[in-house]
Amino acid sequence: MSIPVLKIENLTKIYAGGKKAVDNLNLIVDAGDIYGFIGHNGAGKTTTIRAVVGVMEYDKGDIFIDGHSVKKEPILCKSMTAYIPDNPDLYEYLTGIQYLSYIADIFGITKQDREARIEKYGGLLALTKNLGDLISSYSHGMKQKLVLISAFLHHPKLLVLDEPFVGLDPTAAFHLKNIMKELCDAGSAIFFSTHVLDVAEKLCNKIAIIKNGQLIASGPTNVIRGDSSLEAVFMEVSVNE
Amino acid sequence: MNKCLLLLKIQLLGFFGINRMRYSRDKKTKQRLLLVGIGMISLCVLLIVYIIGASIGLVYLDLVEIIPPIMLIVCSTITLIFTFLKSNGVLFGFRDYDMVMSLPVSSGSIIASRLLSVYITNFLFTAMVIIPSMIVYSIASGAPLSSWVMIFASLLLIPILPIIIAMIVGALITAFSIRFKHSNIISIILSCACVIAIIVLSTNMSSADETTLSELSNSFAEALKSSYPPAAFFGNALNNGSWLSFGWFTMISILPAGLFILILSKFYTKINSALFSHQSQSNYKLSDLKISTPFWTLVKKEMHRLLSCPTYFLNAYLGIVMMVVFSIALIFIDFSSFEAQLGITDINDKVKIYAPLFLSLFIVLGSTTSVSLNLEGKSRWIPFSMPIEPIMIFKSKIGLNLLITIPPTLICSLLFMFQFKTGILETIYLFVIPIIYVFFNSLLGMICNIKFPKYDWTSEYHAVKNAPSALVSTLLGMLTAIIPLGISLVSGEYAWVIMMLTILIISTVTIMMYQYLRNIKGNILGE
Repeated sequence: MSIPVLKIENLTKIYAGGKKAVDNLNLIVDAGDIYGFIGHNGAGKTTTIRAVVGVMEYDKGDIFIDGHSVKKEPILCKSMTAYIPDNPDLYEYLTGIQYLSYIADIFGITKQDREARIEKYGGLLALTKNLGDLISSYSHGMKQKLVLISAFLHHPKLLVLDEPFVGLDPTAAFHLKNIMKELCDAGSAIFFSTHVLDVAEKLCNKIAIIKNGQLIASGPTNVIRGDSSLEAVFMEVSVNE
Repeated sequence: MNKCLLLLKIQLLGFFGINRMRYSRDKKTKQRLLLVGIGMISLCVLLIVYIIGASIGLVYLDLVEIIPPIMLIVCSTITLIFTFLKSNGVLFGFRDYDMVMSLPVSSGSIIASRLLSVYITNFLFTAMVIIPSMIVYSIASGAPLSSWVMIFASLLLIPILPIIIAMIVGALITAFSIRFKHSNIISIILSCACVIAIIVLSTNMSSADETTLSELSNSFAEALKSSYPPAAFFGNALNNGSWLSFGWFTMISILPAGLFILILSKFYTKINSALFSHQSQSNYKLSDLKISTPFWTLVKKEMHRLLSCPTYFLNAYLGIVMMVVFSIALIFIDFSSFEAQLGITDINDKVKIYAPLFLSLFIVLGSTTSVSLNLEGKSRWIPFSMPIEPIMIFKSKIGLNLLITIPPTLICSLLFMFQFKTGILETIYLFVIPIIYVFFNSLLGMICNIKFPKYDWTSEYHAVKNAPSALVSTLLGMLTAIIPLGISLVSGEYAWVIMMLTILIISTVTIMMYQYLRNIKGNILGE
């Protein structure tokens, strides 16, 4: 049996004051999966995602990326992961190309690879012409595109995205979906949160629904959805649970 | 409530972590804030004791009449410099600009609310200087009750004019710089020039004339009239009970403020819009990309950060700028004329042994490291989601401070060496001690910023100026330079032993701090 790309085991995160943001959460994302993570505002999606990418410490349980513990081997795990936050707060004083070079240097990407990938993804997302401008001059969508290109630079094993489609124009959203599928075909896995249930339903082969920090449903999209729509299932489980 | 006061209230809640202290459920955050609070109160007590001591000293020298103007000069100069250093982020380019400007509030109210927030901090400082000194003055001069009416009214008035002057200069620099592509660098250069000018002017004013002590009172009054008229009016009002002078003082303080708000409110949106609209050429063509090591790419990014924010540059680097100005000025000082005036011989020989610690005092006045983590702000997810150890991030931030501090320090040591004609041992001290302090100060700043981070800012100046980490780091740094300097001053011919001990102790502490930073694992976001 192959090692899952992402394995979340009994994850619990308690905030100051005792509130459990994530409560004993278990999840497995395999290579080739496009895993949608849905839930209401404040359900615990972003907390889980931030714990997975190693920017937030957690209280109980553990997270494994390609079999390596995020707690014990954080650097190795981060080198296999790419993270795209919901609100791309970037270094506004850098130009787009300076930011991409910065990320490429940190991940140790060769000259040929970085040039080829920036050309490819910059072209697809129609951002190449703007790469010489300061990030402060970018719109929200352009910043989102820049973070996407930076995430694809090192061909991550696990791509974690928090609300990736917010702010993207339809063409960019179309290309993003294609790039996501392409990455999965190459053996990577994608774990992303979204409020856009239509996208989740069409794009994801697996879905997890979280409510009040607890996983209330997870599995293949067609099993979760059954004969109904994902929206109907989501409304039913999130109200009834 | 008045809209201006509502805007002010929101700003004040962010000051000194008041709201965080009230509502945070995190014990560590509360403990940190409490510690900073205790430190600030202790500093205030020290300042008050120092002011009382200085005022009593002036009474003993029979210079009672110059207490009011001299204290006003102290308040005005400090207010002028500190307001100027943060003028950039107060009125222009703050992050919540869009949100504030979209509210149904006039530009005048926004400007007034932001000026009031600066006024309140400066008012507190003025009160700490004026009240104790005026108590000493009143007792010594037997001032009538009417003088106290003037004193309390003047407490409210004193900070206004220097704040407005600083803001006008800051606004002019901003308005001028935004015409250029590299507006931040132009702004940094102009701001440095202004701060140097303020320091040089105030130094000239305090040594207005070469007179004897008995003539000092008259010559000081004359110097004030020509250099800072409000101080002359204030002195005359209190010393002679002149309400006319007090009226002039009031008018000079209030009128420019009203005019400034009126004029600026007409151009406010225009200046801010220009600041937020960046030159965008959209003509980039992918060419040869350069590769760097992770360390150097992080250092380069830190350098871009420093040059992008004039407030950051000025606050972190002002000590070094002052050190360079002072060292260059030293070349033109003729020590023989001092020796004749003071009746002391061989000043050169007596001073040169302390020169290394004197230089170090400038070095510890600030560092980029003490606020560099703060400036990551909401973008801190980037470094902490990257596959690098925390020490690499710390090293890059320390590296920048070393990179920009070591060259000017070596140049200043060289200038001191030529001016004082130092011997072999003194030359070694002159180069080694300041460099050790550069390393020490960089690491100290880094640790203070880790212990006292401030990420939730809306204007860069809050991350730099209202940062507890910068305050703690500067205070600790100054203590570590002042203590050996004081001991060596009283130890006479054994001063070189103190220098040797200083090298040993500061180096050891620096190595220990580095070990501490190396051992930090995981994320340091405090979440």
